[in-house]
Amino acid sequence: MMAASAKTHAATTHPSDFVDAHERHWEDGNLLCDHARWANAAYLFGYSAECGLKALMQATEWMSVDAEGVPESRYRKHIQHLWPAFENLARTLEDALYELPAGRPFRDWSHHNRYAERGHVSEATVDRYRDAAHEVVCIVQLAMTDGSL
Amino acid sequence: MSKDFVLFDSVRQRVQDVLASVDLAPLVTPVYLVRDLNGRVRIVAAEQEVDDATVKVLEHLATRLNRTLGAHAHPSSASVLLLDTRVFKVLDPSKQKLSDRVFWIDRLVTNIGWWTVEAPDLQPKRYTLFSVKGGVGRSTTAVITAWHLARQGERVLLVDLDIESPGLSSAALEPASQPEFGVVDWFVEDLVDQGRHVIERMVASPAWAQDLEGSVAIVPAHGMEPGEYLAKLGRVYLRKNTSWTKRLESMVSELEETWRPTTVLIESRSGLHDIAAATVTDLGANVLLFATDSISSWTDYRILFRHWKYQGLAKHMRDRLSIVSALTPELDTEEYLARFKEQAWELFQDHLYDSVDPSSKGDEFSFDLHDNSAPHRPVPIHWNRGFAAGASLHRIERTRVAHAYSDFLQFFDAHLRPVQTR
Repeated sequence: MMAASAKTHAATTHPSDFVDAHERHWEDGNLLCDHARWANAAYLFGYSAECGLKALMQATEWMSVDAEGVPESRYRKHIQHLWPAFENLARTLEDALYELPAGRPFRDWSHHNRYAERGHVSEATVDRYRDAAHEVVCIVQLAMTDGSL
Repeated sequence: MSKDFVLFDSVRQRVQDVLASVDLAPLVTPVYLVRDLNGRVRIVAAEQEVDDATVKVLEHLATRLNRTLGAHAHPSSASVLLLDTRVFKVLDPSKQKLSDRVFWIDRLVTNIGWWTVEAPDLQPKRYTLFSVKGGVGRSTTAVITAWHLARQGERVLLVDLDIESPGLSSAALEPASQPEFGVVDWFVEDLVDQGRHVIERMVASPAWAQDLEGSVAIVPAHGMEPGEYLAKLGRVYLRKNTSWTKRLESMVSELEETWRPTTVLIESRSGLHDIAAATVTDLGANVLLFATDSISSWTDYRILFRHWKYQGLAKHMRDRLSIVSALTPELDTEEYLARFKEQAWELFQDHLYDSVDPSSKGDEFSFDLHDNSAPHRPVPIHWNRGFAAGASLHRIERTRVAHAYSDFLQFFDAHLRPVQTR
C-alpha cells in the first residue's frame, strides 16, 4: 500500500515553484476577499505566506529541497509552524536581510480548516492573515530587487 | 575578453548617458534603477502607480540599459519589476536622484532591521503631537518643527487630524494658497472609492517654505472651500470593509507614497477620544505628549496611561513617548519645570516604568527622577506672546522661534530624528 500511494503522489504532483505559488495564492486570496469569501481567502493567505517563506529559505540556502522541490523534512511545515521557524532562523543570522515583524499572525491558522464550515473564520482574522501575507509579499519582492530570488 | 566588457565602476556613468538620451517626460511615477546585491541593474516602479505610457518608457529604457550595461544588466525578461508600494518604504531611504523622476538605489548586504507597519523606525518617520487638553500649542509646534526640519533639507508632510477643531492650515497658509481639498474630503470620497482623486489636491506649501532647502507640505482638515463640512464630518469615521484606523493608515500611507516626505508630523485631536487614540497608538508614530502642570492635565494622562498599562500596551508605547512642557511660564521657570518633572515621573513610574528588582541585571525599562534620557524628562516650549493661540504663522520670525522653541528643537534633533537624517 505504501508503494502504491507513493507512486500516485509522484504521478500527480508537479515540482514546487515556491515563488509562483506564493504569488498566485496571494492574488487569488485577494480576489476571494473582494467577494467576502473569507474562509477560502484565509486558507490561501496561509499558503501564500508559506510558499513565500519557503522561496526565501531556499534562495538563501537556509533550506534544501530535493529534485522535486520538496523541502528537507524539518521544514515540511505549514505557516503556523513555519513563521516561528523563519523568525528563529533570521534571529540567528547577524546579516539576515529578510526578517518578519514580531508576533505570530498565523497562530490559529490550520490547513485542516479546509474541511470546516465557511463561518469558521471572521473577517478580522482574514485581515490579520492578509496583513501577514502582505509582509511576506514585501520581503519576497525585496529579495527580488536584491537579486536573491 | 570582449571589448564590450562592462566594469562595475563604469555602470553609473553609462546609466546617466542612457537617461540623457531617453524621453522621460511620459513618466507619471518615480522610477528606480536598483543595483542588486550581485551588481546587476534593473528598473523598479510601484505596480499601483504606473500607467501604459510609463510602462512603454520603462520597456524602452530596459532595452537601452540591456544593450549598454552588459553583464551588469538583468536579462531583458527580468529587467523591469513592478512592486508593491510598501516595498518602497524600505528602498526609499537609500535613493539618490538621477533626474526628476528617476532615482538610483544600491542594495547592500547590511544588517537591515525589517519593518512592521506599526514600528516607530519607519521611513518616513512619523510624529504625532497629542494633548489631553486643547490650546497648548500643538499646531504652532507642528508648524515650527516643519520649518526647522525643512531648513535642514527635510521634506516634511504636516497632516491636520484635529478635524473637529481645524486651524493649522489657516494659521500657516495664506487664504489664496489653501489646497482644494482636505483630510475630511479624502474620508468621504474614499467611501465611494474616489480617495485617489483628491489625494494629490489636498496639499499646499506655505509661502515661507519656498526658500528653504527642504520642503513643507501641509494637509489641512478641509480645503479652501470647507463645503458641507458638518455633513462630511458626520461620515468621516465610518468603517469601510476595514477599521477606521486602517482607513486612516491608508490615507497617511497614500499621502506618503504621493509626496515622499522624509518626516511626517501629525496633529492629533486632543482629549481622550478613540480618534485621538488611533493617531497616538496605531500609526507607528513617535508621540509628543503636550502637557501643562495642572491637576486636570495630569489626571487625564493618568487615565490614558492606566489604560495602556492594563491593556498590555505600555511596553509597546513607552519607548516612543516624550512629554512636552507646553506654555512653560516666563517666571520661575526652573521651579515650574522641576514640579512638572516630578509629576511626569510619578505618572510614568506608576504606569509605564518597570519596577526594579534588587537582584536584576539592570535591563528594566526604568528611570530615575533626574535621568535626562528618560521619557518623563520635560521638553520645554516657552510661552511667547507671539505664538499665542490663533496667531498667524504666515511669516516665521527666527528670534521668536529661538526664544520659545530652542530647547524643544534641540531635543528633537538630538533624540527624535533618525540618525541618518541628522
